[in-house]
Amino acid sequence: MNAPREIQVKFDDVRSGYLTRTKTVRARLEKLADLLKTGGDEETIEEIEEIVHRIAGSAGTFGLSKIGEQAARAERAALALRRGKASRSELAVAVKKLSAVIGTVK
Amino acid sequence: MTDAALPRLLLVEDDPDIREVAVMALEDLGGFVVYACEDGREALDRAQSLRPDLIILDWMMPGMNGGETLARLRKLEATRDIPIVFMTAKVRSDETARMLALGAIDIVPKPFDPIALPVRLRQIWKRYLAREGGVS
Repeated sequence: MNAPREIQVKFDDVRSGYLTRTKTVRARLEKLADLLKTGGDEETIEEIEEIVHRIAGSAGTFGLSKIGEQAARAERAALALRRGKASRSELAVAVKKLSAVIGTVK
Repeated sequence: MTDAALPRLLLVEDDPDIREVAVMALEDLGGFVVYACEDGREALDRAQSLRPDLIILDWMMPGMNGGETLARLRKLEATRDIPIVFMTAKVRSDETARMLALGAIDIVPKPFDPIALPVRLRQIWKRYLAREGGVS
């Protein structure tokens, strides 16, 4: 973001908090992906949809485009699963990749 | 458009980080007066008491989603004519068509660029005023 210094400082502060909170979701994403591989229930899929949708719609605002793009891929995989065009393991792979991408960002 | 002509906004967004950045962008960069709340139920109360000129409504919210919130706002005497813009990551053409069919005047896709957000809102407001025969 290219904005006046005072606003940039505020923005950086919010971004830092956002990234910290997003990193705390990683463990949950890993767990949900593992649950999917062994079957997983409707609640598992719903929780994944909620998390990846939120990240897909927010990461780009903080300049975290790689995270946002992978979250969008996972969201599309969830939609494809709903439509019978993808398997649970495909969604699990997309979720694991999202977790990995989040882990690379500092 | 002069700043005096900018609409007072009610932003309804459940994600605290997105809410904070949107308020920052619209107030600090855009010069808007922004009221913010986190869910549809609170939006109904605040819209009735504040009578904002424009409501920016997230679509995916826990409890009452954006569509339900819009429907309820339309049933209230005090809020039925307030224009609504959805801010959403649901950007497939069938999804946005549904939102517009519900009566939203426009859609701001997520993720948004904080620098571009106030510019986009000014454009939307200007177009709305022109369509309604107001002053732009």
